[in-house]
Amino acid sequence: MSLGAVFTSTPPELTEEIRLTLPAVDFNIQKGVTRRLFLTGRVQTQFLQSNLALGARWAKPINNRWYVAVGDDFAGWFGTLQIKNVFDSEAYGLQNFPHASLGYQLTRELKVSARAEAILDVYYRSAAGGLVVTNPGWRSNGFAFTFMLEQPFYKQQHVSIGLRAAYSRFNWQFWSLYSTFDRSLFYPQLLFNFIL
Amino acid sequence: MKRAWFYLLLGVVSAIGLSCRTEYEAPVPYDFSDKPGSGKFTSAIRRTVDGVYAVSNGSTEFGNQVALRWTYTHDGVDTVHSLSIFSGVSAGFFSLEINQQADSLAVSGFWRKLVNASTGQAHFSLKAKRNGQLLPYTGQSLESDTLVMDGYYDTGTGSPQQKMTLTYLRPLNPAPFEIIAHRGGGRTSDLLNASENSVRIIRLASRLGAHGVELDVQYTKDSIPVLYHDNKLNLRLVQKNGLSGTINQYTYQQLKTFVRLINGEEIPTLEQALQTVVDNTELDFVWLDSKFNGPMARVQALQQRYNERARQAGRNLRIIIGLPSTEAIASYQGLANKANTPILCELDTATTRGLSANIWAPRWTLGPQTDEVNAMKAEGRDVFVWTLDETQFIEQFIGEGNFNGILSNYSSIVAYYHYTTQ
Repeated sequence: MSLGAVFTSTPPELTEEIRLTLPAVDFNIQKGVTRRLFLTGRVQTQFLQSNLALGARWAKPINNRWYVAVGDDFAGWFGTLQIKNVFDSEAYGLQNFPHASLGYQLTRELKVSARAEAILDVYYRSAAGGLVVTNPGWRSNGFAFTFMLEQPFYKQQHVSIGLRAAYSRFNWQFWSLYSTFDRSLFYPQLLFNFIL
Repeated sequence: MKRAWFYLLLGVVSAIGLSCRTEYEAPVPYDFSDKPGSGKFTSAIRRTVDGVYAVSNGSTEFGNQVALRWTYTHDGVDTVHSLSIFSGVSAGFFSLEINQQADSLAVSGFWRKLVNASTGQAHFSLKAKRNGQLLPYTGQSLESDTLVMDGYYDTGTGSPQQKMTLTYLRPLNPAPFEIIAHRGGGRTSDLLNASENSVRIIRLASRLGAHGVELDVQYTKDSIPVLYHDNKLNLRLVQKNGLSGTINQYTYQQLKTFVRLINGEEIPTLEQALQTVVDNTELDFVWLDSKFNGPMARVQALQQRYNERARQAGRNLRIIIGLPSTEAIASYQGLANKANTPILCELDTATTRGLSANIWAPRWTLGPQTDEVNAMKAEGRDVFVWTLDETQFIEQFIGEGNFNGILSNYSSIVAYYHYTTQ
């Protein structure tokens, strides 16, 4: 289990001269089913918009330092904005993230890992007042690379710190900006979690 | 050794991440001659060509139907005619000029999809379909003839080889509807070959499907109203020049001397922009978005001067001042005389009524607001929504038929759905 925050920077194409780094609460859980198979869960929330992902991961050590893992996460996100004279809008969608990771035990206490993932859109629904649009069907949205570092923090406490470079057409955290670009935008993310 | 591995991994991931910062470009692949005159395309033929067409070749790329509409710009007595084709796919449009060298009725130019960077050349010939055969169109036709635009487009090869055939279906939807292009015609981020809020993009606006334009107005240090959207000079909008800060920190002469918009244009004064609208375009609506703090008198004076100049030229042009905030309303209320000063209010209906605004412009993210819209229209106001770019929502807003107009970065999509509505 881990609890922390993820900070996502807005691409200039969407927010133009305004540069924002949006924080979200990030909670992760993992449970071993067998020695190599794990079920995973993740909740990210900014309260007005949230994302819940469930998945599975299969990990195999190559030797006493290296391991590889493959997995797949299925995520549902939801956002709503009710602001007088500004927004009467909500949206939700489903996304899928097949991924592969490579890990390395640098020292007894320090681990590093690199992960590559594809981002697939499965379903999108958006409503403004009484008008609704939907986009069903699987389609490629983009991809992401993550570099994570896991190390001791204080006493028995460990932390993970990471950078995620997502390159996608749509990012659920920015649904209310209604991006119309059919071209991939860069979403850098900083991840910080306490391992509980 | 372990440290080396760590830095190697970090370097690889950073390199992958940073390499994702793609710089997109969509240069126009065709050199327009901008030659005045209409060649063999007489005004009668041009009127005949306007319409909704079925797409029989090229529908995968541009959809099953498109809308064709002639537009023009003029300089003095010289008029340049352009044919635009609006597609419902990916904000696609064609901009075509008359091929005056051709023996037949021919047009050539380029196509572009605004949501991405795809573009290519295109050319078409006007033909008549008679008894299943395609004949060159001469302007003389039988009642049973069907107009066909027969041509080719390319997908980045530089040589149009993909066949495209457009067959006339029906006239354009004639219902009055205001298609207003955001920032003078479109955003800089949509990779047009003209910068947002420039004179050049105002001249292009009709080709992109617009009937009107929205312009962002700010004051310089010496109180000259100019067009500029952002709060500060920044590399999103202007070429690198060493200047920073807000527009009102610089005199107009300083901006004219040192600042160029991203595509090389000068920051225009509001007067240059309105002069362009009146003297060079067929646009019938200008929405001046008040992005300034302080007195509105200079903007009002220009609004009144150019509304009058348009009236004297026989133009059906409305220049209105948009009030997006309580600060802008305070500036409006500070005017000594509010006569002949049409305004648009972006706030709620009560504020709009209190100001006796001519137009109410709510955000599209509030949805159709049918009761409020009907009430405002019953009181004699027009109602526009802004800034609506999502294709499916544009289709639905137009399908609802309640609004008088839409402000959009993608006027080509609005044009497509408006003109093809039956």
